[in-house]
Amino acid sequence: MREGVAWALHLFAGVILFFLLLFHVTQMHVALFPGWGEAALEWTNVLARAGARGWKILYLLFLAAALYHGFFGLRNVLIEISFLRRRVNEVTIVLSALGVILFAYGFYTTLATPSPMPGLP
Amino acid sequence: MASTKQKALPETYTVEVFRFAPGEKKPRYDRFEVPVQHPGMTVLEALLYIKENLDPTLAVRYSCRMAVCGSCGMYVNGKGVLACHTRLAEFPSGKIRVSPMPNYPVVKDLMTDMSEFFTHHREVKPYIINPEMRAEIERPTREFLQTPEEVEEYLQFSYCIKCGLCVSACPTVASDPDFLGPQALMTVTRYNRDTRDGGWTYRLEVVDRPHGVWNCHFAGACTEVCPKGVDPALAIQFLKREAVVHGLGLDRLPFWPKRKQAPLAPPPKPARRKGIPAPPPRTVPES
Amino acid sequence: MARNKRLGIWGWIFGGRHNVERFLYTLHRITGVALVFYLMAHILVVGSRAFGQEAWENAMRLVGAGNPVVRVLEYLLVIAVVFHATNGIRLVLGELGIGIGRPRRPVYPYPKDSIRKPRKWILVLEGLATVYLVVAAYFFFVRH
Ligand code: HEM
Ligand code: SF4
Ligand code: FES
Repeated sequence: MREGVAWALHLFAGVILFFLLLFHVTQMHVALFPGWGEAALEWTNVLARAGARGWKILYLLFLAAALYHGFFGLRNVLIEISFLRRRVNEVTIVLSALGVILFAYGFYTTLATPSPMPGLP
Repeated sequence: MASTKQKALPETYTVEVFRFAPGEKKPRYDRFEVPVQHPGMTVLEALLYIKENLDPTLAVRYSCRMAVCGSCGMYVNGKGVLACHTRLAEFPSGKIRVSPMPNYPVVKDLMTDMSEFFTHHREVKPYIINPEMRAEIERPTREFLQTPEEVEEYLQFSYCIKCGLCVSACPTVASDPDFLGPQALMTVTRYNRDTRDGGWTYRLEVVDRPHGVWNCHFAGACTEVCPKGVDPALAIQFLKREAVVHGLGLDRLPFWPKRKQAPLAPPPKPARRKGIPAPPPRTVPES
Repeated sequence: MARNKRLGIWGWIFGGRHNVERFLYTLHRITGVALVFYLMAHILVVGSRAFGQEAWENAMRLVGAGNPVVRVLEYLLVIAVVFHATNGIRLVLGELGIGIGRPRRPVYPYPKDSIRKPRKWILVLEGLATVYLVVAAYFFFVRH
């Protein structure tokens, strides 16, 4: 992939993250609605989100965007450090591998959750 | 100075100067007392006073002493400036500390080795390249026509005097010697926006690689220090947009606006006006 | 022979007395890298939910959910997120050449448009970030 295309994707993922991440942080910590804030971590609420198709899609998008954005950003930081600057390919391979493994694990988590609660879509 | 009503400035300045000579283990700062000789005295004049009267071994590079040659970039009290373009009066405390530009090898005292800077500069082909008009560029017969608006598109970026201050201020340069640096990247925009130029694909591809334009993260320090008002950060952000468009191939789509090529001026009228005598015959052979 | 004066990664912070954006560069880096490490741990911890209620509740106990110290750390994380996100929007716009001005004659005092024009965005974005963080602090520490 051309460096510039990868960078454009990095920015694009950043814009997606802006909305998803701020929503996520608010949902997890700011109890504006029932089931938000502290309550979002209770098993019933976790299970409700885990079972719904909408949440699954959202979480997969979130996961992909965050991993791509984060690891591309980390690669940019690392290859600008003088002793790694001639190791661009090595840094890219190691970070991509790590990213793919984490994505696979997150993918599994998102899809392999216990069956949805009765009465939920 | 614009206003004549000013607090009395100190009569002498304490100037601390970074000293280092090849072979020495550690650099040090030497302190000199410099009398102010006239109200407009510059940092460069203070350094030359030191060299003439206090310590002739001080090495300082300068040439034009009027901010056009770009030789005297250095840091005064932690800010990148041209020594010839900075008055002592800007430091009313009466104390200044002068050091060479960071992120360059120091040859001696305030003199830095600029060879890496010019290597990066050369890498982007900082001149007009136009394969289609090669003969005309190499042996010009006529001028290229540009509208004033087309000139404004790159004029600001052509004021660069290659002092290297922007490169020394850039945080990415601090840790990555291979990064092309603000000056070279700015120069890409300067030539790519010139309608006489046809080398933009070459330059866009040179910067679209690791240690190229993507390692600029818009810290803006280059713009802050540039003593000529060039605004390298502006040029580099434009360059990113162009390189993304080129990288995605958008500029090859049929509806994408084509780059303008400056037309050649119509050929000069061959006939001479009446009454003007013919020039004398050549005395040197045509080259 | 010549002395190398390259500052290395210290130059990200201690490069001289420069503009605020240069410090935001460093802050954006620090928060970005910190978030990457948090993200890795986060994916592993949340993964416990695939193994049922007990695994999930054990994991939550392990990371100390509800513990006041952890709560403060989480709030620091939210500060990092909100800063990185708002500053990131400024960077996205600026780095695509949006709203940073056009080339101008460098007549004294120099225009420096690319850093002067987005300064008001910094004020607006970081102002909004502060408002968000104050509201979040209320929910974090008072009404959780
Ligand atoms: C909330 C929305 C976010 C936005 C709008 C955003 C935006 C940005 C932007 C614009 C950049 C600079 C790109 C450049 O200058 O080349 C960046 C860099 C970076 N981001 Fe984000 N980001 C966000 C979230 C995240 C998250 C969640 C992570 C961690 C997983 C992250 C990690 C990084 C890293 C490591 C960098 C590299 C820092 C650097 O090059 O100095 N970002 N981000
Ligand atoms: S852009 Fe400005 S600071 Fe950089 S080398 Fe040219 S004149 Fe000097
Ligand atoms: S001596 Fe020429 S720029 Fe200062």
